[in-house]
Amino acid sequence: MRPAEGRVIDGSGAASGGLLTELRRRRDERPHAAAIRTARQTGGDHLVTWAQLYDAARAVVAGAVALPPGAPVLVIVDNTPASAAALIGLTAAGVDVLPVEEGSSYLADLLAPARNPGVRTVVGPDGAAGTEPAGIDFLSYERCRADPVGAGGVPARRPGEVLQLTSGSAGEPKIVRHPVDNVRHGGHTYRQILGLTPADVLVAAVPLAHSFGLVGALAAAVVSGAGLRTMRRFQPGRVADALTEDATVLFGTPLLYRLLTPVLRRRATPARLRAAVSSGGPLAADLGERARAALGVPVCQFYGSTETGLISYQPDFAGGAPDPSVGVPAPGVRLRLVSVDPDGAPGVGHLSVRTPTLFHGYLGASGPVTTPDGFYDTGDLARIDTGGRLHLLGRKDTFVNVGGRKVNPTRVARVLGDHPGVRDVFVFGATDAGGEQRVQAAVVLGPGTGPAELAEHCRTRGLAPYEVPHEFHRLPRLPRTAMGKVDRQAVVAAVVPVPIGSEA
Amino acid sequence: MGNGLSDVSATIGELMGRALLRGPLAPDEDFFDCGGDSVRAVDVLQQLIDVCGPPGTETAEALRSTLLETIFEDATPAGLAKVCLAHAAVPGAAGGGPSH
Repeated sequence: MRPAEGRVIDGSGAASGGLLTELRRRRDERPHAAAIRTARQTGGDHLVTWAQLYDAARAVVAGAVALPPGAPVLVIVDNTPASAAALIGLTAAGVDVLPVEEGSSYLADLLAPARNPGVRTVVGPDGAAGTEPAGIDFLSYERCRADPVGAGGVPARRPGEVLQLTSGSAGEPKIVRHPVDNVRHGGHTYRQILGLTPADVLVAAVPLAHSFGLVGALAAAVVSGAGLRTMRRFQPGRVADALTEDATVLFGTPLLYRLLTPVLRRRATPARLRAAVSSGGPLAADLGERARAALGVPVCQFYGSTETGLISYQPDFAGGAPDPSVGVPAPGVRLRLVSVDPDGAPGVGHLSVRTPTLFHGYLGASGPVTTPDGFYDTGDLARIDTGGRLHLLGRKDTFVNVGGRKVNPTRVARVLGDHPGVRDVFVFGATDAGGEQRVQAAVVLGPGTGPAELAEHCRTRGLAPYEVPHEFHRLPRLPRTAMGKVDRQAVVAAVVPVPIGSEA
Repeated sequence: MGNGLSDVSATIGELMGRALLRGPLAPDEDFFDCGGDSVRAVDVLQQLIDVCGPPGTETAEALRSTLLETIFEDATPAGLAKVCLAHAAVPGAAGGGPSH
């Protein structure tokens, strides 16, 4: 199979030295231009200029000398300029950072003594203090800064790594290691693909803690000089306001477009919007059409993973025929299909990729993550059409995709299994009529235990709202295969018609 | 039965409580703080439109539009009840009640 290849990245404007070097250029070019603007929940915004963002990041570099050497820092990312400065400054100081979304249930898991990957410091917004176990220091974004003049902190020779949580294809989540240069390089890829300039205003309706927001929105803004608008908590009204005002590029998930489209009914068509990007899961064709009518531009799907960065994208930002593919390979990306069945359809196989932003391995694991020639097996079943576009035919992952957030069913099942009234449990995802995935739990219960108690148990144990099963199904026993494994198909067939609780 | 703010608010509190597998929410309790997520929010709004939506697709869609924006700003039963009343949408208008 001849590998398809994207255009080679032009590299113009690319510089080594991580995001801080790029940020300094923005400060030099347009110090007083708006860099990041974050909508406050209660109205109004928090705005910083490029000069202010650079100064804040530089002060974080200086403050980093006080951190325990060699220990990764967990950064709770609330999408504010201060959280962005912390990420950029810490990595520039050589500190490995583990960005986690505000409110993530993984925060408690990661800091539990048995699972902690060496974190001794948590950096986050003021309100997040007090949740960390003994022996872990909490620093607010402001308190991890020091006056850079005379404090001695200088950017490190080896920038820190960005450690990212991934749901894992099965079992427990893993932590993916990326040199911060992958984030910078990924930002340049988005800049090149979208043609970003300082005249652009990007709207991140996605968390900056995850790779799509971190690379596609934050890093792309920093390397291109485009302004970035973010929000603390997802609010479709604020996204609509930004679109009406000055936004040129929107980053969202399919669920964002589902929630935003009705809200846009009551607003003028976005005046400056020239690209709408969707990532985090497949975008249903009918939703794509409705969103396009409301936005005035098509919603283009971008496909990638935490391990690889961007793999492919739909390039027809201004319009074109509906595109059922996930587009063409991103710059510098090579695709290879490994045939599963020698007699199978030609051009179909497991997708392996070589990307310029490939991860360096999982934290705490050794061994190669690629073939000797640098290809990583995504596990996804795919096809490449005669026009060179990539089509996804099946995902290997068992995670449940709730509005772009990946829920690990094994972890939810473990929490449920800890409840004394639960005798057996199987957790899986089901897609509803609107095309959204929901978490389903099939449970074998002891007498006196009901779904209300189980939902409360999940919340008490710290699962995030989107992780708590949306439906519980009571079964007399779980169907199992001859090998003793839960028979997924039989469970799905047995439970999908009537969830318990719906008749309550 | 009356269809003032407190009645509509009670209906919404009940729908929210059902989506969260718990008792009804008080008028000033926040749905997201109580464990709601976007998927459940969409469910609650759909049920709300079903039980008290105005007749006719166009008006129902206008209500949906306002409710969707509102629930992410003020996710309390009282907050959403005000929107329903402003749209003259009250439980029973669609011919169904919240309990069925």
